[in-house]
Amino acid sequence: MRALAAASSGWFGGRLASPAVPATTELLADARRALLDDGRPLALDELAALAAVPGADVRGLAALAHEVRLARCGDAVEVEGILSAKTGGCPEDCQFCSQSARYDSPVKAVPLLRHDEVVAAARETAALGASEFCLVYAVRGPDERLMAHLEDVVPLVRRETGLNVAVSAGILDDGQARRLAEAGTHRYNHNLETARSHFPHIVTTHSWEERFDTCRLVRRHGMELCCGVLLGMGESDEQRIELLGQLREVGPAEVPLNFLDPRPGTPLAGRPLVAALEAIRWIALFRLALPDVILRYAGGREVTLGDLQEMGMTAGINALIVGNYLTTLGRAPQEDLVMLDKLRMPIGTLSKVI
Amino acid sequence: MTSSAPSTLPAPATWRHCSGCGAPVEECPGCSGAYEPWRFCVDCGRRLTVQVTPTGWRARCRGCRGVLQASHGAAR
Repeated sequence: MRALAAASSGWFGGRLASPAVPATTELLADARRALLDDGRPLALDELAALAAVPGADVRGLAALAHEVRLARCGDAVEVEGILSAKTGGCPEDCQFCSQSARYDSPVKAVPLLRHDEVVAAARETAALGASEFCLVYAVRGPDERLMAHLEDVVPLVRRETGLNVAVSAGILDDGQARRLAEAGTHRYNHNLETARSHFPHIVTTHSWEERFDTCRLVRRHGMELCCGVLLGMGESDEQRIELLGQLREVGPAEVPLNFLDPRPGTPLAGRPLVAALEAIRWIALFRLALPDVILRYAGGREVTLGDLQEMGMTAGINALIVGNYLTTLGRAPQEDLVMLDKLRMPIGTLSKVI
Repeated sequence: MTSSAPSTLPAPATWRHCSGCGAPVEECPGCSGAYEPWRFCVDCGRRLTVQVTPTGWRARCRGCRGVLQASHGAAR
């Protein structure tokens, strides 16, 4: 293989298609065999080797990830809407977040929305053909007033729109998790955000362990867990692999993949965007590490992937947030629907339990 | 937010302040990204109170106009 590669670049001026570096073709073949033939998960060191393939081989990595997605999840795409139902004024100090009260961010606080405002936003989402609607609150955790709001609004949205209702309201205790499950919460979101070893550089007002504990609690009370990450906060590749191992421990049904959109006034405001091809690489890695999850395009998708958004859909992604995000805008829903139509990916519900 | 009848977005030619940073237009002719709602009032430069929803956004300035509204997507 090496001689052929040398010949193709020398004698034929590179007109022959140069083969992928042999190591990569073997790595991909071994990974394929492990996941699709043997049905075994990839080890973290196998994932680390895949994470290091040359840039020219990212397409091959993506193709394998897409094959695994189809085999394990089918071709349907889960479409979800999201709403910031309480904005800004958050007491935590997460360095990526424009809603922290600690940073001089242009985002002004908006108090808890009324029930009718929440339902109206849910209807906007339902009209787009989505199956899931996530209510998000910029809090450390729910106080009693927010718990009462959730116990009203979760069944209300379900009744009025038929959507599965997801909630993201911070750190929970056992009683709160039970009450949310009893109120009919379909899926509870609580991101690990980043590797345990990197977390203290990003947040100091609570610990990674507290987040991990909430994730476990969600599952203990029979709700699906939505546990996501935010890439591009200065973490190393090794830390991204560490994070994949940690995600496996909490067993999420869904992993939203966020790419940092640096926010004015926050400590991470000056960070560069994740490069588009790097994003594709890691989408593929996430799929290969967590072959059965709902892997969702989340925040930062448009500004990071740009013209490669469609490529992500064939690199392991099988879900997306449609329309706008919490404090920023997404691309027009129609563009996503056209993309899915072109890819012949039907919109559907992917959860095991409805 | 309670709203009076929302108005459409004022055209850039009428702006006195940048919708992205609030600076006077002489200092900043416009720095709002394509995926950002307005953050500052184009008349007085104050921060807006903004609510983003799945298919649009609305904003209010304490100082001047009533509620601005944009339906999906476009910040302009």
